Amino acid sequence: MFDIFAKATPAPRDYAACSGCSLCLLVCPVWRKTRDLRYTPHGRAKALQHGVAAADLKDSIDSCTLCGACVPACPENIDLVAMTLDLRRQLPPVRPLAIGTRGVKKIADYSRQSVLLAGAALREHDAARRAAMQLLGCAPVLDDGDDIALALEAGAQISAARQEEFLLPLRTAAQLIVADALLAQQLGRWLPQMQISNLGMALSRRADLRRQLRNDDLYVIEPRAYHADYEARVRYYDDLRHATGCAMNLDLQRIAIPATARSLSQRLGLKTPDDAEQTHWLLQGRKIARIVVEDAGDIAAFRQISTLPVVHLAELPND
Amino acid sequence: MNTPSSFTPSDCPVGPDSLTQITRRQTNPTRWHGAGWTDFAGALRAAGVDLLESLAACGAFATDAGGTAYGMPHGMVIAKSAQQISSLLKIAQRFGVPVTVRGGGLTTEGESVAFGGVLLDMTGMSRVQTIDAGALTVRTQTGIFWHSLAEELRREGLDYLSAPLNLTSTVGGSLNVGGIDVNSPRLGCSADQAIALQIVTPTGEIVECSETENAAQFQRAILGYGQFCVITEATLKIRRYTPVRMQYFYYSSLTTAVEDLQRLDRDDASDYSGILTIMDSAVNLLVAFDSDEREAAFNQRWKAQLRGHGELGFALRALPRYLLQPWKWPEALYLLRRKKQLFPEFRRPEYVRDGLMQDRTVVFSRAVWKYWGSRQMVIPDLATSAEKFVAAVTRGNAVCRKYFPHYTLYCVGIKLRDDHKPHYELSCIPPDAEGWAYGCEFEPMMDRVYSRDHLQSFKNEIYDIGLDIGASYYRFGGMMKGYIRRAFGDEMVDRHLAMKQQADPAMILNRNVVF
Amino acid sequence: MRKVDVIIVGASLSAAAAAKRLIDSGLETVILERKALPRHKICSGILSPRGHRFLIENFGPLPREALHEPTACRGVTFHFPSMVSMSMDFFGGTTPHLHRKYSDHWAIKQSRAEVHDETSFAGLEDRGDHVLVHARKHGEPLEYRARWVIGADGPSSLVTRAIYPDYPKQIPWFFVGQKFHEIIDCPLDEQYFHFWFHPGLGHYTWSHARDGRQIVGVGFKRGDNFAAKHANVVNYLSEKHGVKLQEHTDDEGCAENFGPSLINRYVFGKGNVLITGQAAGFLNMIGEGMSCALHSGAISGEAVVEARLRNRPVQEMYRKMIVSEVRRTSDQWNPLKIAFDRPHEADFPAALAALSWRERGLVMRDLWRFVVLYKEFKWGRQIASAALQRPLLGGYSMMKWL
Repeated sequence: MFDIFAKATPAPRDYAACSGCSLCLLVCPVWRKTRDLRYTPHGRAKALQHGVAAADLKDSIDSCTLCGACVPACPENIDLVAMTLDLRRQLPPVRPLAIGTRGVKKIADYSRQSVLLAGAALREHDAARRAAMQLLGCAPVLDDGDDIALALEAGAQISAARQEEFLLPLRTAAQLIVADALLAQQLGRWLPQMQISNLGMALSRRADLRRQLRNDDLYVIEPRAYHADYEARVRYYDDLRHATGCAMNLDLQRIAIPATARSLSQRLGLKTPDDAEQTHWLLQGRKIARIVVEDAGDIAAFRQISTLPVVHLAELPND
Repeated sequence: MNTPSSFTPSDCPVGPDSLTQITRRQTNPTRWHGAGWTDFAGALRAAGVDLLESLAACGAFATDAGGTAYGMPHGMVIAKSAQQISSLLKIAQRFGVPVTVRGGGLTTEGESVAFGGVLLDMTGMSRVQTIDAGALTVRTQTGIFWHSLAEELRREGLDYLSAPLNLTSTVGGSLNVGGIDVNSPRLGCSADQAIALQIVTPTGEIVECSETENAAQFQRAILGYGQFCVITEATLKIRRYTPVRMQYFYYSSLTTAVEDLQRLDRDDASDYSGILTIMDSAVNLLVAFDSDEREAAFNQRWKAQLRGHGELGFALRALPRYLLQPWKWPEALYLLRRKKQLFPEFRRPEYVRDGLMQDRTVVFSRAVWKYWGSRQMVIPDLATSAEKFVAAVTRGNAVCRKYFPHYTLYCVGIKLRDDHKPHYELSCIPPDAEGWAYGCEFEPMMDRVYSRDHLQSFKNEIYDIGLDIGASYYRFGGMMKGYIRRAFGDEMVDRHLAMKQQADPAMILNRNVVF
Repeated sequence: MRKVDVIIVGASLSAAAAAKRLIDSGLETVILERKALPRHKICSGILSPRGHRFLIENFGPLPREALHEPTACRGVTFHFPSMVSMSMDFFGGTTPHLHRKYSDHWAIKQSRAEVHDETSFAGLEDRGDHVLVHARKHGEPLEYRARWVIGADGPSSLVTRAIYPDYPKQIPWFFVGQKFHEIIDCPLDEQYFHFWFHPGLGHYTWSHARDGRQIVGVGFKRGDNFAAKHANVVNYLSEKHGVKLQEHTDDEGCAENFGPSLINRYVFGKGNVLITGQAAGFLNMIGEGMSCALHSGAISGEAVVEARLRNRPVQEMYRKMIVSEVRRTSDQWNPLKIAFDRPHEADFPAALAALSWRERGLVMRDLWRFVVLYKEFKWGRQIASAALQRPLLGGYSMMKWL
């Protein structure tokens, strides 16, 4: 009876659990850019503990890249990405996002095929997208939910009609291969029965792709998917690295270094991206001949500061 | 009290023998009264120094890793440059506003907590300036975390010499207090790596110093608890990176393990050594090597003489003991549970390949935060000469048992360098230590909520052992204020106080730490 | 209506300690005090070493005006009806003889809290996410809206009554009174606090020197006559100890709650309202309440700080943290602890060992006769159960706390 109370129910792992250790700073791309504690998960959690309102943390909440590097770094096991997303949902939208139905007339039927939800960045690199679809044997898709992915990131409302319009055809697929990690996670909640894989993992598993990786390659893991499933992936990529000899965008803690450091405003096009410092840091001191990316969105950032060839993972066999 | 000098027992009108055995000083300082703050803030902003006063900015600095001392700064400044810090200190001298400097905030007695006034967050100055792979030196801003420095050095195949096993301690913080690592028995404390510094004095001069240039200031900066300057840049010795080869030996006797540890240190038998325990029932002596040659030599000459066992050997020996003592079964269960949690953490395949540990600092430091860290880091310690060490650890262990169900001891040797004696005078280095000092951290498991009084009483009881046997304290800091006169005597303290008053006339810099 | 983070009721030492913790963490704190500050306080003023250490660690060295003459107390002397006396020095040297009027005011000022004096607490309403506090200043009603309230208003706590109206009826009440006498001749060593284990004198009988006068005090179950009880003690001191005193020049008295520490029946509050210090029932065995008031006050402040930072109910934090102080205080009353350990801040077993066997026997007999005086409160079983809990559970049951 005594002491049972002293060890009462464990407290929830939210902002209140932050002990202020600063470990998230070590891996935070926004910290690297600002060196200002306010723009880190630590800063936000401590401010909330002291009763600061979300509205007074607007800039900080906007600055987060959602790369998720802080999640495996946190010794208190706080889901810091969920914390930021929750704060975003509490704020008025940075830019009104119209997540209405697209009015698609004909409902697609994928008749038990695999479907690739490529997202905006991969669509821009159409050769890579087509290569990926071919390699993975995916059916073409009209609605890849890029607006939903953006809404999830911005913490914006998604109408039930739009959600249903997006999900209805997907229910006919056998497997979803998703480039965007936030969208993949949400689909996992919406369609618990569906088999959902991440594009980078789906591709890098293939022996024909692995054979193309060289020991002077820098393999750039997509951080969001990696950190969301850290314990499993840290082993997976460690094996991949040792099997192929390539370098990876991992730091000494085996946490992925993102190639870009974009705030929500930058992703929404309200501000110009300034990735150069982050991309430089990723490449600093590395003796490599080629950059292989999982996320097509990284290609432009590398090309801006480096003359090295940059290829998407899906393009490897034809490179 | 905001009197800028420490008070002596004669100031206390109670009685000459009051608190003869538990002498204390004010360790939870009274908040600075705030007089002239608005004018100060105006002057600071006019000088182009960005001052943040919001709760969102200041709240994160309300306490330190120790979590027992709280204090809210009136405002905080993110360090940007030596020039900016110089302006800040000059204006603070003029207005008499206290300035508290914080690195990673890993102090345990409130040394990096601002009880009003300005908090200067040094992590704003955390960039590496130049790496000289030929001369094996690095020049860096001192607000950098040791781990961030390692990230940069490792891209060049280099590494720092030694740093506290804690990912968020900063270079500047360690230079100010010492810093120990499991290679300290060979390399000395982390502060010993510094060969040159850029400092800003409390009156705002920016000075470059080293053993040869402005030597007096250099020596007062190193292990100076931030009393005489803010260290803004440092040139550090570095080395080529090597993975390490680990070996573990298990003991059931603390004394035997300590004796073996000291023997290995004396004989220079390993590159790394230290003791980490689960209470006093499972004592782990770890040794590690930078090269196969060193490990082979150890295996040949010393290994057989160690009295520890392998994991299995230890278990077989412990089993009959516990079988005969059923009242100790909860302890045995705890040992097993702890082993199940910790051992996989030290053997994660992504860090250990072909028997080599790739990133020892990451492996140990992450485990420290995950399994020892919490809101309150209660880690009082004792630093003694080699001869007194067993007695200190044994007595401290008894205090741990009295206050907490579970705890860990972490013991390591620190090589002393004669040429650094001047740095050590008023520091964590015990005055009677020759060759090596030995440090033991007493680390209770904070698996429930305790009152600060309970934690402080525990710490005081550990510190009292130090006074009793003439030891020093590795994390001296805030407790230093309470113990300094008894540990070092009035003469030495007053000499340093006079130096401090001369260097910092308004006594604004890190006011409540030592004096 | 003033909106603050915390309202503390009573400008006492426990209030100063709580305020110190709250202010340090950046919480806006207002202390309400019924009287004008600095205010008079009935107290022996003899602080225990632990309390002294707390004062120094948290508020710095004591100013001279916060002390009575003699400024220090060396220890306690116990006197028994068999005329055996034993003096025990405090561990760690002498302790201060506090002038409560100034020491409390000094500590309050050092805490940096805002004080609203001449403002009496008149009631509260806990609304879940805040507490509405009603008060009166010079007869005018006042309202405060606070996130949390700490009741640090002593044994007859109005805050306790506001949340537990029946509580005062559940515990026995004592009256403790002291009178001040000019000294003709006093052989009692003025460096010690003197205490009589004499069932014929009262439940609590003491004497010590203050500012050139001698205090003679007596505590007894409420209802008895102070003047008669006091006169009896003065006669006894004169006859047995040769203490010759003038007629008293001043006198004062107040209600006291002895029981809660003894039987582990503390009251720590409800919802957003915390009770601390002697209001919660903390009292040392020699009737010194200041050291536990300081520590429990600090813990109540810490609990508010932790509850806020961890987003947890304040009662949960407070009760978890107060465990250490309950152990310290209740240990002093625990017969097993007294017999086999050293729960007090002076060495009773050593002083006992210094006596002859015959004297030891007399002391034990007198102690037993004294304890019998408390028989009517029927605490025996509760004391025994608390004493057994301690070694078995490592502490005292939380189930008995209010």
